[in-house]
Amino acid sequence: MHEASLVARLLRMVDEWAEQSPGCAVTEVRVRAGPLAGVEPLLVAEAFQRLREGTRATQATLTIAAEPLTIQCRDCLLTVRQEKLAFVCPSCGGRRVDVLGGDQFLLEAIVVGPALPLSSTA
Amino acid sequence: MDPTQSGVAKLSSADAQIDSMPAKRRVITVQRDPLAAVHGEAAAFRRVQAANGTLVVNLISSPGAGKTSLLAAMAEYWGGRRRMAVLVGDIATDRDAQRIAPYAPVVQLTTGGACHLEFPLIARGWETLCGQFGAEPLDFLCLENIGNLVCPASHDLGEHLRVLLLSTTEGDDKPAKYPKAFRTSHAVVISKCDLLPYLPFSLAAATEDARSIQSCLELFPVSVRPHTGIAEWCDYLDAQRNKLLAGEICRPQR
Repeated sequence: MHEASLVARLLRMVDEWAEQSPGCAVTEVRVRAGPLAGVEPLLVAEAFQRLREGTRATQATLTIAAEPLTIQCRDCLLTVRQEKLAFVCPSCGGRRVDVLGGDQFLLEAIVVGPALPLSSTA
Repeated sequence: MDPTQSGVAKLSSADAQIDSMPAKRRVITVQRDPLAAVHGEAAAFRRVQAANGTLVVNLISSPGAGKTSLLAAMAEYWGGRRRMAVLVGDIATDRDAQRIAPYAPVVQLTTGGACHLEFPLIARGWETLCGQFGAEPLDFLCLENIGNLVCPASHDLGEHLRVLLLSTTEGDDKPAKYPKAFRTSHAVVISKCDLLPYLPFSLAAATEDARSIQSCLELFPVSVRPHTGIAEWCDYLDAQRNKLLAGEICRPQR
């Protein structure tokens, strides 16, 4: 994946959602990334530091939560979170599984609040 | 709301305090994919092509696995019996378009450095194709991706069918190394099978590895020198298109 272009789109989305809170700054951006999202968290964090300047998230921290791979077995219908990237049912050994989660990169939430003072007016 | 009412202090400190009062900490739940808009455009393209009876096939592989050779072999096999066109992506040159041009309408998409195709390039290429060759409905629209097994797996191009080419010279251990590409594909074409006698490549091992990632993958061993397995592969594509005509619209797998 291309983390910089993904983060640029992420920041545009953050700006759009922050518009409903005029006068506020975005203080935190929360995202979720699964192991099949094709996204490297370290590179997302690095791109975020670089690209947040000039957006409403200039002062925001980024929190990246790891979404586990979640599969459902078509044979025994078990839904399970996998620790590893394994597409086999741990209960019945079935291979016909559907991916229910872990293949997405999502903007989960933004936290808005008072903007930090940009400079002292004393 | 009047933007001058914002919490940015610019008058007295008392004004600033009043202005900052509504600015309480608040969590706004979003739960959206930043790429949702692009995914929506790709899904709309998929519906339009399905309504026209055109099966859109996205071919992905590492560089040199034989995507262009496979497309030329398909066009040669079908002759005039199927209407097929190609949008071919490359970082530089129009060499692939030149190779396909004798067989099928083709538009070269040059990405200027990007290692994968994204939907906006497909949309533009499709307009160019219609402009140059007319908008007569096709049976198959093939998208030849940039040679790369990583990034193309993350981009929906509006295809119905995602096909991964794995050449025998790459080794039979590749599926587990590129899980997303194999997981999201419908079929794997094993190319350069004429070289099997000279290589330590096991068709059984590659099949087993690929199906451990995506159990419903269909595998097609082929060679283009001479043509072997091309008829079976083209029959599979015909069958997939018949499903499309019957109303079953596939998309990249999860």
